[in-house]
Amino acid sequence: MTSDVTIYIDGRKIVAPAGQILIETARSNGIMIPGLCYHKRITPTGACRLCVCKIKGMNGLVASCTVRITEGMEITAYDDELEEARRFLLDYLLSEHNEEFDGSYDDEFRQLKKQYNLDDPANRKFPSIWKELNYPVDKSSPILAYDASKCIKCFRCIKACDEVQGKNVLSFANRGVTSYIIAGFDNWKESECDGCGECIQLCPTGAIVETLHRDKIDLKKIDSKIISTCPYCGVGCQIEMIVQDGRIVRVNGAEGLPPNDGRLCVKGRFGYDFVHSPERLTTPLIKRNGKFESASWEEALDLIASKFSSIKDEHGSQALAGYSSAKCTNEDNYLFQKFVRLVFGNNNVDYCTRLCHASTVVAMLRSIGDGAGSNSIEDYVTADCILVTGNNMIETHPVTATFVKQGKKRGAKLIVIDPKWTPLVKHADIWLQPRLGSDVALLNGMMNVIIERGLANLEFIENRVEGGMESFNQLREITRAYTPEYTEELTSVPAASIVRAAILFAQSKKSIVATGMGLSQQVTGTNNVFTLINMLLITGHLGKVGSGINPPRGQNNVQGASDVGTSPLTYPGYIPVGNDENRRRVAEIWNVPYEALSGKPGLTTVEIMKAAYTGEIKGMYIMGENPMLTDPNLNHTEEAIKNLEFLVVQDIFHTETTPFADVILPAASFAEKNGTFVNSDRRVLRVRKAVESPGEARQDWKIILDIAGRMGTSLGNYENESEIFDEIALAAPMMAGISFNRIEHKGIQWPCPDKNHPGTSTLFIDKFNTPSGRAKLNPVEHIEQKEKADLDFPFILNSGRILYQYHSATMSRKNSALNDFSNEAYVLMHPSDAEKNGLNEGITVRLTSRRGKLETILRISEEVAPGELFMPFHYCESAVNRLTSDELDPHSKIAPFKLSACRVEAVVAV
Amino acid sequence: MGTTLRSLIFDFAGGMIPGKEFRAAILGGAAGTFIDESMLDSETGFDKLREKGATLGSGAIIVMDKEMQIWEMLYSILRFFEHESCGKCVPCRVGSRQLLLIMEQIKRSENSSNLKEQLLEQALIMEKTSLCPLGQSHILPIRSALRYFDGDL
Repeated sequence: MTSDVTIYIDGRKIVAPAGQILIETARSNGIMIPGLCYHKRITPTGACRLCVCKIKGMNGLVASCTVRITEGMEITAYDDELEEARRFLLDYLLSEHNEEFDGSYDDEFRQLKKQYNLDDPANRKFPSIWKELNYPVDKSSPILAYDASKCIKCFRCIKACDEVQGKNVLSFANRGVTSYIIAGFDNWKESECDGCGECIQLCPTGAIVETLHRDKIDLKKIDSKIISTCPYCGVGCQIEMIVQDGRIVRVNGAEGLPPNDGRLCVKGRFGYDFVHSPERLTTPLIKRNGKFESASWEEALDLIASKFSSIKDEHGSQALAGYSSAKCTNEDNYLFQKFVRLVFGNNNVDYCTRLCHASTVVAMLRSIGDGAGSNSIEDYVTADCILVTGNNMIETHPVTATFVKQGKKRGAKLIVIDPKWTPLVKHADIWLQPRLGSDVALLNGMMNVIIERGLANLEFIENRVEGGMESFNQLREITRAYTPEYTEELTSVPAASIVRAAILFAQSKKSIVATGMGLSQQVTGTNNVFTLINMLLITGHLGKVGSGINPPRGQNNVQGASDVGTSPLTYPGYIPVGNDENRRRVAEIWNVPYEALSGKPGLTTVEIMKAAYTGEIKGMYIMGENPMLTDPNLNHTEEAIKNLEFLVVQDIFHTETTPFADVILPAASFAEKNGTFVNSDRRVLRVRKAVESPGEARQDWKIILDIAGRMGTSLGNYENESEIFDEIALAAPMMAGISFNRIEHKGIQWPCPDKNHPGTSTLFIDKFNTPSGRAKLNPVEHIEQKEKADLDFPFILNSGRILYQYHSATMSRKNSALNDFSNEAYVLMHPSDAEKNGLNEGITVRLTSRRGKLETILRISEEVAPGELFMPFHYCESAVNRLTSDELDPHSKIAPFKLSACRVEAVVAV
Repeated sequence: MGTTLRSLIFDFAGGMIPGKEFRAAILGGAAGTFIDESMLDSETGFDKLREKGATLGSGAIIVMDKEMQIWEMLYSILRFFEHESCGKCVPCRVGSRQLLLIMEQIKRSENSSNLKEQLLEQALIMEKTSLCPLGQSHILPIRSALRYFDGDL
């Protein structure tokens, strides 16, 4: 804790934290000392010199951004000499500056120019020199342009890229008055710039401005600036949408708000054009004679209600099921599950979490009692050891990765476990590259080292683990066989690396884990995570700030949708549907008889499709999901979906699934909604409406209520989303203390049990959320995969995500800015395999698995190990799920997207 | 220390080349001060020279004869500074170039007293506001050149 000191600025007494940077103290007390190179999110630079002041006892003028305050400091911030110096410096800057201004960006320099009466050239002293300096312009980037003639060389972009984003792509070329900013080797497109645009946000002069909509943006004509939550991954970045003429024309990171404090990635900043895409669904569509025809809402809703009702009457309530959506708000999801439970009369409601972190959640619930991340995003900065396993974080959770990189810069050690190279490996101290499907073995191997070297935290085990030493000894028995040498045989990770990583993880004071799809999307997904938790428990790295297990969620509201009960197994708040007491409680909140709620667990995502295939499920209501791209074994899924008697798809676009629908309903996008999302660190965040929906598109929750009403059930009378949330708070105990007015400014992390509770940044500090309050060790053995490579299918295919696309690409691929970076499917193959098979870079290849086949482009890369392949799963033209298997993890019913045996052949042009 | 500049230049260093006549010297390298003949009997020493508005600096002494144009020398020093400026802080980055422009104007103009004032004024504010000693150095040769050789500029 820092103590406060008293300082005097121009005679005014100010009390502020000791060591605060002077300009920050002054500005936060309303003394707006000018300055262009200072920005509170980066380290001080002292380049522009505009913030000079006088400090008693120091010689000459001092830049106030380079001084930390101490007790009794006496500062002159304004006098004639200082103002003269500032005017002089601004005048200097103007002489090397191109003052053209198109009104499309905030220009801090322009404002200062006015403030110091320098907008009139007659008041200036120095001849203009910028033209003869022949400053370059770099327009090569897909998302921005840099004009050196408008650059004041303040270093803010360089530090935004380096310190804030940890990318370090920008630097200077030349020196002195001819210096300018370069990306990489002076070509933005060819540099490693990944388009996050942090430099744009921090540029004070418009030297770096995005190209997207620049021709349209006129800040004088802005309608509104709306703070909301990013619709892409589950980091929950707070965004500021700039709306002009009813359209979003720019997105900035909202500064000063958790979790991102202004940071964004390329998708968050440039991926908003889908909202205004001409391809948006604008009217209900009904399929007649195999063709979709526009219909009125009345007609569409009546048809849906009558079809669902007749299926229920004819085949019973178990014949209906619903897929909800991680992209929709908590309010939408809450009402969707309420709809399925009360209107369909069963628990057949699930969504993509089943295909994503279901195994993680099951393992976490059974071991430690909560299925959500135990820590906060900022914990990565203070941890001593960060273990990232099966998580291509720089691409899938880019803003979380910035915190990891900051932790690394602060001195943390970084261990990456991934069969495939990811960009995070560049920052890693240790990279373990296990064979696909050998995670349990590797983690057991690490535990073997920890236990046999006496590095286990026995005190923690005694005090916090069920069964104490007895459980520990059972685990020890199982891991005993996994010596580093044997583990090397199973995983191909060198024994010495296993030892090194295990010691580092165990001995660090605070070790934190980020786990991802690499661990979860396997037939052994739950076992993988059990093993990971075992390792955390025996080392005592749980239940502390900076220590714990965190599964960054893949979509904006995967966390929230589960929290509010979109699950076949649990009601809002993770209470099992079979729990009678809870059913009574929920029935009371919903004002229905207890018997109206089915106590029978429903079917999960893939089980629903399997039931559709066998004809048990006849009718489906899909909201914002695209199973025809995201479900495993698509050929099977396709047959299942065709087998449905009646399918309703509610979405914002046509998807790979909509052709199979009988009715398509046009819904509102995130930018047209009020509501909440929950991010990966359990933070309930506001979503706010910025623009109107196109055509007749409607709010998801209102559509759900309308269908329910037409089927004779009232789900409730809600004036607005806030009222729906109030009901969620009643139903889900961990959100009981949260309401819209409490999260108006910033989100609250659950559990938040009452109105005065501040929320919880770290879980399990005192106890685990299990009945006994203790965590449970779940020792497991390595199991050989059933899906094996053989002579016919010699490669093991891994699938995953890339930075520039998102999930089934329904949204992301409608953005030219993102497509400019990456818009083509491919498969990665190791050079040695390519050579062995006589396959060349860039050719079209056919991949065949035991389930299906597809064609795509071959890219040769050392990012994958020999014998293994990788494909991004976003692209419908080469849908990797034609190849994947729907053999499920027995505990969580997740599918093994990460492991499919394949063969690869060149496609010979006809 | 304590030796006079005259003794240093004319005795220890061997004096002027035969036929050449002393005009000026720069003490302390490029970021140093001009002196003329009136200063030759000053004793060397950090404090003693500072009292008289000169610097000893690195100890380097550059001697110029009557044929040497002071403008040329000052211009060459300022061009060197411009070349050396890293560009990080505004006063040094822009000022280094602006001073050169004034020097060029001085060369072309009939009455340069206003320009010389500007030269001094800019170099003074550069001195006050620059981040490192490079931007704080321009003032030294400029002020001393104007002090002893105002008529030559």
